[in-house]
Amino acid sequence: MKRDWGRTALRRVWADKVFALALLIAALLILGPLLGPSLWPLSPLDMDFGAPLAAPSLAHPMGTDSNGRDVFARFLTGARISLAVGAVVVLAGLIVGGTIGVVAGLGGRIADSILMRLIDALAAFPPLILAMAVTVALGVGLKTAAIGIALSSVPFFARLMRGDILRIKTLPFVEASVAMGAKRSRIVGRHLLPHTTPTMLVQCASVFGYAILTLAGLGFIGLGAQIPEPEWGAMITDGLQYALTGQWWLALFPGLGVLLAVVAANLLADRLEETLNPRSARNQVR
Amino acid sequence: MSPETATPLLIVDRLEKSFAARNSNPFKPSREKLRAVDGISFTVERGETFGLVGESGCGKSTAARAILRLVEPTGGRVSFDGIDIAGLAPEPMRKLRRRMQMVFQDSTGTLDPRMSVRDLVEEPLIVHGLGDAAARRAKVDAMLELVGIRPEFATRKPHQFSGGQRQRIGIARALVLEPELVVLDEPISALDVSVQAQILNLLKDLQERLGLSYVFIVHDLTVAEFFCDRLAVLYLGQVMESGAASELFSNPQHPYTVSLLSAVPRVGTKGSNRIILEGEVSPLGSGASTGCAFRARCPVGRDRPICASDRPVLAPRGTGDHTVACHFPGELRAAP
Repeated sequence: MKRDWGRTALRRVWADKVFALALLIAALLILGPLLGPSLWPLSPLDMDFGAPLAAPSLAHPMGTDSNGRDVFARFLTGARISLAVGAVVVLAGLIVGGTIGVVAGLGGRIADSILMRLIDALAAFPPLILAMAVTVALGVGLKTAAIGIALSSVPFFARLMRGDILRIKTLPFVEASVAMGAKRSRIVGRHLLPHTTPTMLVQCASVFGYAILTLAGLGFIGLGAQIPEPEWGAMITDGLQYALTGQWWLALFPGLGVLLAVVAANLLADRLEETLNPRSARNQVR
Repeated sequence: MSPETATPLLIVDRLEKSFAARNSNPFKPSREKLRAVDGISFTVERGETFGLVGESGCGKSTAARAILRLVEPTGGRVSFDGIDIAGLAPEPMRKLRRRMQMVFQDSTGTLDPRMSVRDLVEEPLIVHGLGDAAARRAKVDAMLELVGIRPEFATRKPHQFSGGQRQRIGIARALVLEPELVVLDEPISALDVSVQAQILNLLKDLQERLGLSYVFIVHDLTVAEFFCDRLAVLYLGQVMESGAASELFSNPQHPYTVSLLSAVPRVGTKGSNRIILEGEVSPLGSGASTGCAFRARCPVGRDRPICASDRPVLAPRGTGDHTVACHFPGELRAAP
């Protein structure tokens, strides 16, 4: 039984090439940064003054930067930072924004009005400006950048969650649970929240991408990670000035990292949603 | 008769539920109310089936929901086994729900599509903290067996079953708590005729085995006659006529009941003596607050002044507890 399930899962992943590819990218992006720094001999901060701005070669698969630091080592450490910030932002946004959305959706008109006006005020700032303001106010750095980005993602989660809750709570099976005698907490936990997973998964994936891009953007204008820190956005900033003079590898590889992480996250969320949906065409017996 | 069985299980006394009527002009809010349930009274004895009959929009489902407090009644009293339901705090009300369950019309929507059948039928037991895991499992299997769902299919999701099977799951879910009162809100109207009969027989069978009392919401008169011990005929949220099913069907007094019964096809009679009612159920603007709610469509009282000025009260007529709310009961007779 267990084995059958595993085999079915494998067969389905194999049958869906896009999903398999996304899974592969995700595995590389997660395992690489986890294991890479211990396997790869070069450190992201070690400078090799003998070879500044060296083109990709066997010794330096992604070349070196202006100070002779190995771009591949920096790419791996940068992936760690970007993915961690992405995950933290998604979790914080989901928990804070999701809770606000649930309370607003269930709490009656007064709670709904107060909470949603607060969210409106938060959403009135363009997300990047809000993240910038928070970062500057709390002191420039990676942590404050993550806080700022998480805060700017709260309105997305709150509004979506509220809308979903308002829709789901009118569905007949919710009334049926009340008639059955279920407690409110059970109705929320077992009947409302599970039905928000499809929207929330997609939202998590897009916020994950948004967080990585915004962190790179903040790094790009000097508000995120500071220059020696190997963060993808900061690396792109640093690399751009050399793009015109022919050292394309400096900006290209971290940029590619951002692109792959965002695409993989979106594809995974998409497929996961389909898998969880009991009525999706993909789940019909073939 | 022991004192416990002397009081009826359910007493519904002048139950009211009104909604604020919508108005097209937002600057002139309407004071008019839509009275979906307008002072319904009836009692349900232990072990009997009480039917609420009426056409679409007459407030049957709202009445059912108000009885179980799924919508808050705006007036009147519901007492279940001597307990006044309207005044109950949320937690005692929740606990009381173990004894009063509901079977819904829409079995597709009322079963959570993400849960397996076993989880769906087990959930009421978990919610009310009955039994440990093994006892619950045994109970769920027994219940599924009882309603005719093979327990080996219990890991499937509701959408993998047919409409009739889903309704059986809904029934299992309501009955697994061993309630005393079950409100059946048109449990068979979404099913095709052959399955309707199966579900009705199942419900009857379960009633005998478990000693259940039913409040049966129905618009099909043939089904009502077969299934109900006593009936109330509703029109615009008011009881037009009530009494024992056999009495009501053999000796209808209210023009509305007579017209409804004339529309039921009978074997061996020609279908030409139907009484055709003009117009349709229109709650607002029919002046429902004064006079008889039915007078706009009534072949007897349309032009009589008393029907426009005074609302008729339910008065005894015929045998048993047969009551009619009409100024001219028995005047309209179906052509033989």
